[in-house]
Amino acid sequence: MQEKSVLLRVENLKVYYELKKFGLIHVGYVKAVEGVSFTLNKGEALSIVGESGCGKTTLAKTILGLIRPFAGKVVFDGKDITQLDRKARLWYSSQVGFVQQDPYGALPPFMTVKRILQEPMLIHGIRDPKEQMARMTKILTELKMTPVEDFLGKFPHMLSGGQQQRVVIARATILNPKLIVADEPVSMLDASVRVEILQLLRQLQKEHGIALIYITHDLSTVSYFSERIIVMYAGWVVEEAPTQKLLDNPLHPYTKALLEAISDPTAENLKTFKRVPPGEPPNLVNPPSGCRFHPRCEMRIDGLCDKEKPEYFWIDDQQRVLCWLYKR
Amino acid sequence: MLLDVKNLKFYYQTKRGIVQAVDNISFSIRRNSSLVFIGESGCGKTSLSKAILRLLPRNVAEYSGQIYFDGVNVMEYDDEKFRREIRWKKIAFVPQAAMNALNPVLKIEDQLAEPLLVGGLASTKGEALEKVKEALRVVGFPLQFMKRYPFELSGGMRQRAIIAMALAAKPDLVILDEPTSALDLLTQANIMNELKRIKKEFGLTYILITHDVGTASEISENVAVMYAGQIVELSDAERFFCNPLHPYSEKLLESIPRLRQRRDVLEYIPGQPPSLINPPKNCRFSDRCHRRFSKCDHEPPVFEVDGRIVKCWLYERGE
Repeated sequence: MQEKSVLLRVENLKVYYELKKFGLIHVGYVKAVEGVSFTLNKGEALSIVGESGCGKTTLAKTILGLIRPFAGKVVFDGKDITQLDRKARLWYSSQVGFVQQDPYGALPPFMTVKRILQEPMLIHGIRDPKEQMARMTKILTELKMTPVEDFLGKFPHMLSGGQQQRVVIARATILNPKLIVADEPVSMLDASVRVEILQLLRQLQKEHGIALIYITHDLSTVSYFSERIIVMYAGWVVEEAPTQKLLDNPLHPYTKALLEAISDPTAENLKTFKRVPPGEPPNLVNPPSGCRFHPRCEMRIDGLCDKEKPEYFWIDDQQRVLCWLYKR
Repeated sequence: MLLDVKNLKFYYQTKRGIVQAVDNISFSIRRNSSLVFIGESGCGKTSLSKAILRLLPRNVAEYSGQIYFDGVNVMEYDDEKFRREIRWKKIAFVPQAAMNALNPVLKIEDQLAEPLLVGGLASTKGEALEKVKEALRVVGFPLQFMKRYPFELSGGMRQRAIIAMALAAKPDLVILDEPTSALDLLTQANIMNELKRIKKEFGLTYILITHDVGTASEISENVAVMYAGQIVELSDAERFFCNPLHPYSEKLLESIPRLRQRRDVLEYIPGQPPSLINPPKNCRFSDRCHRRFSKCDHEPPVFEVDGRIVKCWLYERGE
């Protein structure tokens, strides 16, 4: 990977939430993200996959600059965004867009679509009404919300879930950002519109050369959506690989379990049981010693996995896995 | 037939008009089998489960039809008799977002014992607790957690507790309304495994309500596809997943991203379902249908094709 095409570099990022007793006394940390590193190239789509509580949303919010990390760096276009001053933060917020999970919760109910889309432009100094209108028309047309005039005057509650999510996407892209972070953008939508929204987002991303971080728990959609996957478990990145490679040949026991758990709709499912690990993800205040997945892992090596934290083993120059099984 | 529903109607009165949430639905289930209702949000599938259990809100505009349970028309029962004899004892319910359905200020054991004591299935608290323990053991809930409060449990454990609550009274039929939708992937798979095992072990009958076709395929012997308050297709699972009949089912299955058999282009259904206040008089799917033709301006009757039921003009004369 050449340095100049890199848009975002996350280095050994740690995000902890402090736990306090009576709001004062320090009792411990929730180690939500621990030692995450990856890079994202310009115009690339990356998926982050994991269960709830694995730190994927925390990671997204840290990348967006909404949470201050405990340690580590997030370098965007050569600048460490954890160290920005106020003015630079404003610049940064025009460079990244955020697509939230719940569109209805993300849209202010008292604003019309027009007002919602104007907001980021006003904040970033685009005050010419003609310019504003041109941008709104362009983005809404690209998102197939036509005729545009019909939608501009509407309030969020008048729109269907799919349309609300499109407004959220329009708002995230109206400033022509270089990066979009989409946190489970379709999990609240119906199956029949899910694909449409994903395709629109993908099309937008490709046409404008925007880099995209797609956060999801649903592995079945990622193959249509991204070039590379990062699998997270309990705050760790446990595996990273190009999408097709990961789906064809998952290495980490956790990735294997995730793939096993997905049911494609066929009648055979009725007769079979899934081989999935029992239990739940660990508590992140006192995570298990050694590998955080070892209490649930079928393949664990006693004496090693429960004692020592695994290292990354590179299978080739694209695929790495955090698991002792792949030690050479 | 364990349950035979005929022409069930369930309408709500709202300020904007009457919502025809469940419109003339008929189906039946054999003992020890399972039926899955698949549909998008707002298609009336949750209303259907409420209608079967007679958990009615205050603004009911119409509630009619026949529900035969074990050969008896329970629609003729008055509310008190229905509550005492049918609900929970014969037909149990696992509600949607079950994790929030638990009472936050009661311990799990007290909460699960309550319906048994109220329903007269256990005369003493000790007896009720024994039954609760047995039910919890069945669903794989660790018994040392029995004295905990709901907030001290993970989502998967809360879901297991709710399922145990439904099983404790030894019902014949369990209605599961989106039993796994709020859970993590691996927990989902675990719960589905448990549900399958329990069904086999105790000879239960399931009605599963879901929007997730993947989950549906895990448990379904029969599939009913709902669209805008009506059943548009009713079929056995095997033929349904290979060869859906109704254009809506066809598109719905095509729009599901699959992991194993990859397709390059995914289909989606343009537009959105019609409002259930004054729904269109023609076929309700016709506006979004890719196989629409002249006849679709009239409401299609139900056609039978090789034992499968489909509400679409394409299958007139059993084509």
